[in-house]
Amino acid sequence: MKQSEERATAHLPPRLARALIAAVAPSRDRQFMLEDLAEEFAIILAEGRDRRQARRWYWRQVIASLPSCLRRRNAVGRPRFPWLSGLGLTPLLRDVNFAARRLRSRPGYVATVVLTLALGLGACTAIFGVAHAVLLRPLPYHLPDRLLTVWESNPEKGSSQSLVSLATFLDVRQSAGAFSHVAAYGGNTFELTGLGYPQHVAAIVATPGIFSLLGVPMIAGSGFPPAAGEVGGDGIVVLSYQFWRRWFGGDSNAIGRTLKLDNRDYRVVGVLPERFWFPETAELWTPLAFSPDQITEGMRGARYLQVLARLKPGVSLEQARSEMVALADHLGSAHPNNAGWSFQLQSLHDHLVGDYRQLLMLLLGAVGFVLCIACANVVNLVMARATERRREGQIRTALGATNSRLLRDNLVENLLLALVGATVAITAAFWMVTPLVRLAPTAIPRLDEVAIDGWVAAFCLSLSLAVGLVLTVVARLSEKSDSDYAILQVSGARTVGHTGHRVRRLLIGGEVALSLVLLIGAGLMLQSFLRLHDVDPGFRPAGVMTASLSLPRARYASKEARVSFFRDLLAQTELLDAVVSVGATTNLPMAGSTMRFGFSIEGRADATLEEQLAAEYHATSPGYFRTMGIALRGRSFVSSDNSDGAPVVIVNQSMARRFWPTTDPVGARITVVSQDGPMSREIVGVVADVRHAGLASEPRLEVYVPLAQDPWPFVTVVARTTQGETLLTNQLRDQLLSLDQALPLGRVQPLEHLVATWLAPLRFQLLLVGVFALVALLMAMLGMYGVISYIVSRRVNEIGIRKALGARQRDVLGNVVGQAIVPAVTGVVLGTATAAMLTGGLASLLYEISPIDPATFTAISLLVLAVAAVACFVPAWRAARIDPIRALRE
Amino acid sequence: MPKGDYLGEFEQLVLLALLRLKDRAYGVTVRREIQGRTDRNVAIGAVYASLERLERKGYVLATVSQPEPVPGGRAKKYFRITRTGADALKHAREMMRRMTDGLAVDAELDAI
Repeated sequence: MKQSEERATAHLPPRLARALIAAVAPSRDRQFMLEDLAEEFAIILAEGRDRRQARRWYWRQVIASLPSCLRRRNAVGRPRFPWLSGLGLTPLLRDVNFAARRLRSRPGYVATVVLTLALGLGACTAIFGVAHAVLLRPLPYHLPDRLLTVWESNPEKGSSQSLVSLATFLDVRQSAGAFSHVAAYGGNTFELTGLGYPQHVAAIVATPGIFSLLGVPMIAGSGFPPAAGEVGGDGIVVLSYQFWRRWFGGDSNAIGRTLKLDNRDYRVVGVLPERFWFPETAELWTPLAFSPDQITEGMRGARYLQVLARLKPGVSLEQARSEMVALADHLGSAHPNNAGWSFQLQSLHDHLVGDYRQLLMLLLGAVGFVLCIACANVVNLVMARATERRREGQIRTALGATNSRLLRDNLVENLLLALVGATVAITAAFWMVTPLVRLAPTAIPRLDEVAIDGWVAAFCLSLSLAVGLVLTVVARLSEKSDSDYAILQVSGARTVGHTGHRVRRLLIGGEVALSLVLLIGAGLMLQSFLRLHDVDPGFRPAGVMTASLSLPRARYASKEARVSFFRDLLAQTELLDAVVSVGATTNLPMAGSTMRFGFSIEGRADATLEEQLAAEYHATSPGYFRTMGIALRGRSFVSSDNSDGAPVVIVNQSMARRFWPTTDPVGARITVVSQDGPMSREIVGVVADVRHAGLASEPRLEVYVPLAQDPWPFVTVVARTTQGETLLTNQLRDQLLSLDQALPLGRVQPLEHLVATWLAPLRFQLLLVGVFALVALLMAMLGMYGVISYIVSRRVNEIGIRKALGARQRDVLGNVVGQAIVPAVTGVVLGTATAAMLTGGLASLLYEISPIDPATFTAISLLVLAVAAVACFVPAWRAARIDPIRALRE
Repeated sequence: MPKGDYLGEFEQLVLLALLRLKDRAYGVTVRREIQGRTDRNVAIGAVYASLERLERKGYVLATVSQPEPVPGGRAKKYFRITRTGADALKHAREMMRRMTDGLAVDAELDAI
């Protein structure tokens, strides 16, 4: 049932587009056109094009059909919108019609206003579309606001949000009365054999109740039985929809078939829905199986599970919190490993999007500013038009039109303009959103759900209505004061009331201030980005390829087997033509994985007694430092640093500086914990600090031991190469196959990608804020130019008189520029103050630059002033060259 | 032929599509026929607008079929050319022929 519903919706055309064409199509053809479009939509899907393409085709058809449909509606003698006449809307329609006719005579005005508004509204709509999908739309689960993440927390040990140990999770599940469901999961990777190439598949190991906790039904099979896993493994697996389509062609007979994972048989028991979304991508789901020795007292310290819980109906988060406090107290007194640890509850939604809220709010703020500037420009245009039409208003008033009638006409006209602007904006946002999403860092959750749907369109339309209203009010206010003033004047005078000018100067000031704030924000981000870009990561990423691989535990159980495999692999890889040097490490910089172990310095009781020391731990091969370009003092590892050789270690600069500030650490001994427990090692070298956790993070204490003395089952091979990715990938794959037929090669990527990926979110926000800031500056400049030009055109007479009375070009120039520059300077002052208040919110996004960096503030202020001067100089120059004779004659 | 009844380019394309499609001409087939042959993107709205105009001039006759006897089957609006429509199309082609008669059009155009 569920399945057929899904299939049915998959073949439906986009609803919004369908409603649009249904609204505008002439009634005689409406039914046929809709059915024709639906039929062809189905044909396109049947031809094998995907849903996205088919929907795009539909939209394109609808948009291209709009002009001809609207023309036919407006044809003479045909009732317009007959379905509306019953609603008592005829007077409104008459107003709309009147406004449309008046606007049609001013295409230049309409185009300028619509495009300016569309730019502002379009940017807002696109960003709102992203924010809506990521921040606002509820998670795709049953009653998602009842879902929580559960963490262990121990601020004293510097751990505010820690994963949960298995035994503690079982305690929570058993005794927490506030939750209707509690489930735990962790990531895993399986080696999949028997289907094509051997390969790694991302999987999630979860307690069986996780799907009922989320409220997600299987589309095939029955899922995990309630008692699956727990103690001992059941060998069953649930497939993601994509995995099922790829390997079983969507065949429901897949249920009951077996998969070979890590050389064991797993029976398929369920398939997840196509639209199932989970924070961690996984193709396979297996039940969390554990043995009694995993829940011993000692294992309570091993915190590695992500825990989800669903609040019971009627139970508040506060109740759950206090219950968890009691539970933590109880566990702390019963188990030494729980002592000092409490629980932390966070809503699942906050946990997922918390990091990106600030970024999206920043972008929304930026587009809001752009929209404000666009509105300011449009207000100026609307005011100019109102002045032009003063005569028309006077005549109509003389003929008996009431004030409210005139106001209503203006309102309808402006609303119409705003709505047309919104339509253009929605269309533009519809096309912009795909490239925007492609540009966005992939770490942002739920990006694939971003779409310009009904909600986003409704947002844009309501925004445009508000804009139309504001335009009317502002224009009306200035118009009213103009007309009061005009009564005192000889008829035909070509000056504008003081309030009109005052409003215009306010607009200049406002635009300058807003664009300044945006530019300062962008300037700060640019500098922060450049500084990060210049940070020395401690290695030279250019020309280095990386390939991760992991050895199945079953076949490489012994250390000797692993050591000899790595030795052979590295030796053979080094022989490849394209490879200059090669190495291997357990943890690559900026790849997100770290290991952290305790150590102590021998002969220094003080250091070990005071605090538990821990360092980032790496096991590396001899060629690693050379290949990565990491500077080294002392000696690197050599091939004799193996299990027969003396235990050695290399430390980093930070460690040397901290513990041997005046002496050379080479030759000293430290005890390092590793796979086999603590072992005393001699320091043979010191390497440069590497920024493992990212460019912005301070270097940490690090120790490197020889891979041959501590062979882990997973490594990343690094190779400095003279050739491209594809060739090396193929050669490496051949190498691997020659060593082990069934070993999958993990991800192969240039080291530079890792650095670029790390910088991607920063690049994204810089790019967007930068673009918005430049658009804002450009619009503010055009706005100022428009305002000053307008004022000059209204002052031709006056300037003519001034010149006739002896004013020089310089005087006129100074007068006009002065008129513009005063509000611009006020705008700069205001903008600087606003920026200083707002950039505080940027602090956490900036690197090594103060949010009120004086240099940036000064430079940007000067830039904006210069731009303002250029924008008003052109009309001022024109004013200065007015010929007094001609001006007075006109 | 009264003045002002000349066929526009798109109207000619639509009539020619009807001619090709015989009794299978309705919205989808007409649109696909023109798009497939001319390789230009044709909006369904434009097709219907043109057909309505042709119908008003009496060049085209529209008939609505019975719904197809399958679940969810639909009624279709089929179009065919009338005698007058055929004459108008002939006339348009004839005028084009006369204007190009004795002229090596392609060669002349290329020489420009």
